[in-house]
Amino acid sequence: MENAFRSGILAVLALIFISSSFANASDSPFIVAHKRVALKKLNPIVERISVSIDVYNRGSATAYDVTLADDSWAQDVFDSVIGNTSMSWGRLDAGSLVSHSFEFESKVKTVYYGAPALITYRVPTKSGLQEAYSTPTLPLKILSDSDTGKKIEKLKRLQSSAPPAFHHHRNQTLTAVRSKMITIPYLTALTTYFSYGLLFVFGQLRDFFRRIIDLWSHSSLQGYAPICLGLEDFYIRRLYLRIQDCFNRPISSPPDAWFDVVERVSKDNNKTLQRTKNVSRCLNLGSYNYLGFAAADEYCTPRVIESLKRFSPSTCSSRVDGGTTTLHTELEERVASFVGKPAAVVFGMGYVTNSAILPVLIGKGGLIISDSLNHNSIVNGARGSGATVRVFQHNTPSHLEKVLREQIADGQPRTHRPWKKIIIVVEGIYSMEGELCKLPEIVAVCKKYKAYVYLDEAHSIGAVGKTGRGVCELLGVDTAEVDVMMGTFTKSFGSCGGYIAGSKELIQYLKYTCPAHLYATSVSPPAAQQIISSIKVILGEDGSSRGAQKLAGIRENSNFFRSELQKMGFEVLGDNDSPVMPIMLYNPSKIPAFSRECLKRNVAVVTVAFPATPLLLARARICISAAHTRKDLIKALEVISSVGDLVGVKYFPAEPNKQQLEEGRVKME
Amino acid sequence: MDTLATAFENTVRTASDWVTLAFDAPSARAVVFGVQIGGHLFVEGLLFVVIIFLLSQKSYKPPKRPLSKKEIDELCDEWVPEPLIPPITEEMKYEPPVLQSAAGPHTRINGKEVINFASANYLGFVGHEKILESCTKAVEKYGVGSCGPRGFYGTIDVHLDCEARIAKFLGTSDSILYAYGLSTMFSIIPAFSKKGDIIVADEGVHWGIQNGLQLSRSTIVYYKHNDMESLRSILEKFTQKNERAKKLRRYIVAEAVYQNSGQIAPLDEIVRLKEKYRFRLILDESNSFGVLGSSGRGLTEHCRIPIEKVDIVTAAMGNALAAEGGFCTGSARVIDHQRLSSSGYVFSASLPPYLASAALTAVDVLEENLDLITKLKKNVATLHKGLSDVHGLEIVSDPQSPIVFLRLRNSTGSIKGDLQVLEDIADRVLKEDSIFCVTSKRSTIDKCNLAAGIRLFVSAAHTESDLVKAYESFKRATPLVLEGQ
Repeated sequence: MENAFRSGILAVLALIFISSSFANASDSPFIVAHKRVALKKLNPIVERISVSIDVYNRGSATAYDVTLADDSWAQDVFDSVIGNTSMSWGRLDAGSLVSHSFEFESKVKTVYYGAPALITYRVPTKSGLQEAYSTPTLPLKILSDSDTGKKIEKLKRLQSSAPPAFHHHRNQTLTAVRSKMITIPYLTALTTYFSYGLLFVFGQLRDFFRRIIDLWSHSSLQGYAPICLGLEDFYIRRLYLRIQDCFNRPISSPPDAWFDVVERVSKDNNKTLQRTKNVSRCLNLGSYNYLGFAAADEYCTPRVIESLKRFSPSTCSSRVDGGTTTLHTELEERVASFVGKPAAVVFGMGYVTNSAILPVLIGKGGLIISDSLNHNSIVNGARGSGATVRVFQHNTPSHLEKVLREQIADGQPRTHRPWKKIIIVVEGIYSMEGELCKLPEIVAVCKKYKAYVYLDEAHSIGAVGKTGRGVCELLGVDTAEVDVMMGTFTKSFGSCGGYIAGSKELIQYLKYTCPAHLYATSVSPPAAQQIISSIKVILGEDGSSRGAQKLAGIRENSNFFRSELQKMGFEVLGDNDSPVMPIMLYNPSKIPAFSRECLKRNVAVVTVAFPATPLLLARARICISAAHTRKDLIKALEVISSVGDLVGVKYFPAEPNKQQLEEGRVKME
Repeated sequence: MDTLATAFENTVRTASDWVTLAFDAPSARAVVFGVQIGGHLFVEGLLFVVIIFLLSQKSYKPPKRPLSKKEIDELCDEWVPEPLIPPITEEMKYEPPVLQSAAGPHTRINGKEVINFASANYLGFVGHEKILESCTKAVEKYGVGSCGPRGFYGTIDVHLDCEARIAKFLGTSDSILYAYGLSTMFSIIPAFSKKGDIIVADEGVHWGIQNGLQLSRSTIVYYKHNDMESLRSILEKFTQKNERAKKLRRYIVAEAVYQNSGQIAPLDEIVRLKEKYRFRLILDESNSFGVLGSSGRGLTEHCRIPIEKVDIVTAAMGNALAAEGGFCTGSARVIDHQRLSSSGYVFSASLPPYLASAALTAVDVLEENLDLITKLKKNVATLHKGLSDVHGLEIVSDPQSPIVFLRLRNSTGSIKGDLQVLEDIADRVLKEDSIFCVTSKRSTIDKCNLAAGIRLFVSAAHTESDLVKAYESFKRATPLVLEGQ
């Protein structure tokens, strides 16, 4: 009762006026800002802080931006953000008032670590970009304390005792927040729903007439239920086939930085497509060729061909029978030492690695807690295992903790016996969002609750980290903390297959009982050689510095491309350093438009729609490679920008270009 | 006494007066739409008030007492998980022999040349010049990996050529390539069969199919291994009893040559049953494609049944074609549906182009060299005959199956025990006579209950003397091992 009463009370703690002028001339923008901070204690655990800022323009119209300078706050703070914290560039007309509010809620008992946060608002003026800061916003626990002396004391203590695990996040917090939530503009959501509605209605209408026509034609399916049925089939026939030329585009060259896309024509309204002899040379922004090992490589290819001649393309046997060659044992040793685990086992396909390993590790009476956006192979593996599967909010350690606590307290459904074991499955880089996993926090939660960690590094191994060792290296997590490390060779290594790395006992057990090891054909020997050689190149064991160059290249390319796209006003998801960057399209009509227009301009991009993403969140996905040159990327940016304007997918206003502003000034003088 | 009675009388009279008064009240005698309502209006009004009062009361619920934070903390502290893996026993430490050269009919293990009966290299395509040449060209042209799923620029022209070639070879309208043999079946079954649908499967199917069945969440019934009477009775039961079943998709899943026993499915009988009971047939031709039939087109050709009668045909390409991956073939509708609904196709990187090229060339070579199939058949017959009178072992497999499957004549009583004895025999023939063959090891999550055995994969590349050596070795070594028991 008391709680409920207290929760109603809103304590306004600070009311500060800041006014400052940015320019003296009367025709210049003149911004007045006003900040309010309020703390609300909803119940003993949940605290909510609301920070709002009103910006009033007394001068002429201007572009401006407001952001929470959050790099001193811990990642946890942003885990349960309600309001919009992302930086927003907007236009502020003369005499108009805009307010921005940020709201955070803490549901864990941890206090917000770190120094007070600032709100930054920036306004471009003739002399460049000017920044102003609000007064610091203090961490919650301190705000709630009424004694000023104690506040300062606590603050100092907090700053000195912030756990080291959080330090490396300082630089990337902002982008993590940006990607946190996909907020669809209302109008876009409305038009997207409308478009799908229209497609659905027309599809149904066509099906209706088709059924009438079919009444006259004799069906040969007497007594059989149709083999394809339901909405899935409807979706393929009436929605997917209309734009199927945007997918499955065949190529006739290696998937390198530039490749030949085979042109296709359709004679029956896109129902079927025929290949033609024509190809168009396109810039490849679609393949997972992160390190550029897709094409023939001066070091790898001769070795691959030598292995091909020595071992043939296949062993025609499973690993446990006659499918283990000297290459396989060498590969396993190399992979284990590369990822930093005592032992490893390799399989011929990445998908199978996930879907065949999980059933071996866990079964009935076990619990798998999976990230909500995990890859289909993990979903199928979890389903095939017979264990109970629970999902936690995408990349949210605090929600994971909540689920873990609930599940451990409740035990198995109905019987309420304690779980046999709990495995948490996360991915290093989420391939459809381009986001990095919050591994340090997730590992900390798992250790606290004695759950096992299963990390899928399909997209991150080789692609991120100083020496390409994946997210553990990038985020500073000891590989000993991760129980099962999985990854694939399809992406960075330009080969095929997948691996599991772990303790020696784990690998022995998997080799004893994993069906993919016992029944499936072993990794093709030349493919194994490709992996061995590319790891050697990455580690510089080939005697050159090409590996280091590739790793630096992909990082620079990715960060350059991402920041340029963001400046142009695209809604780009994902974190810095991640080579995957989705551009949100939303509208179903924009999917083919974006893809076809880019292809017309010789840039091949991947558009992703249902079933790979939720129906509303269609996107184009860019995968950057170390093989791209700066010139390639600039061309790509030009094309994407012009197509973006044409198709209308720049959902954010573009950031004013500094150079342009300066140019304007020169002219005026 | 009298006064008491009078008082009572008075009270009753007063009450009845009141009631009469109420009944006589103007409202009680109201006429609504020409109908006399009568005095019950008052009573009903009262009743209505009571009902409203009762409804407005909160129903009784025992107070909920959720676990407090402290209690949850305690539970979390108390909880002790099982270790991730069970303790390692001696048998788990098994290391398979390491091949030092290609897995052809003869290979090298520990520096010693052995005759290889462990690779399903049925047509001897491992190390085939023409295939190697096409692979080399493909590696030079396309690199090794495809770096993406088929949907996202992972479709390379050789994939499409290979698909067309296989479809042409088998006489179907289209086919689809999978990146891995094992993933073919467990992707296809859930793509076509969902919750509520019915699948009748052989109990001896391999793990890839078992996994597919499980993932489909359909109603699954197993029939006795290769027993048509059992299949018939199950189909009968489903169609007779269940009217609703007509609206569901119904499938029979079988393997052409069973990996777990070497037996050949009686396709003509299955097709007859499937047509009678209106089931669709999914057939795994992994060990029969390129082997059975006069031109290697598999079990359908072997049984002289047009391939259209089988709705979905799949095969792994890691056997006779000596490549990797798998394919599925059937009507255009069946194939097109998979291109967006089959998880192993949509969500996985595509087959490395050089392997597609290998498979494509292998089909070409197969079509040009029909004598390979004749040779293989001869080899199978020779080995089958030679091994048929080994003391203590019996052949379970079909005389025409390229997998010769040997089982203990007198089982020790458990699969594990059998396996140990068979392992000893295999070890002995490898060590003493350089015959490399393997036992049918089984995963703990494999539900197949067929007896364990030794599998010998016959190849067209084996020479007469290889085969003689093999069966002579078994004849010699088996009694020695069995005596030592």
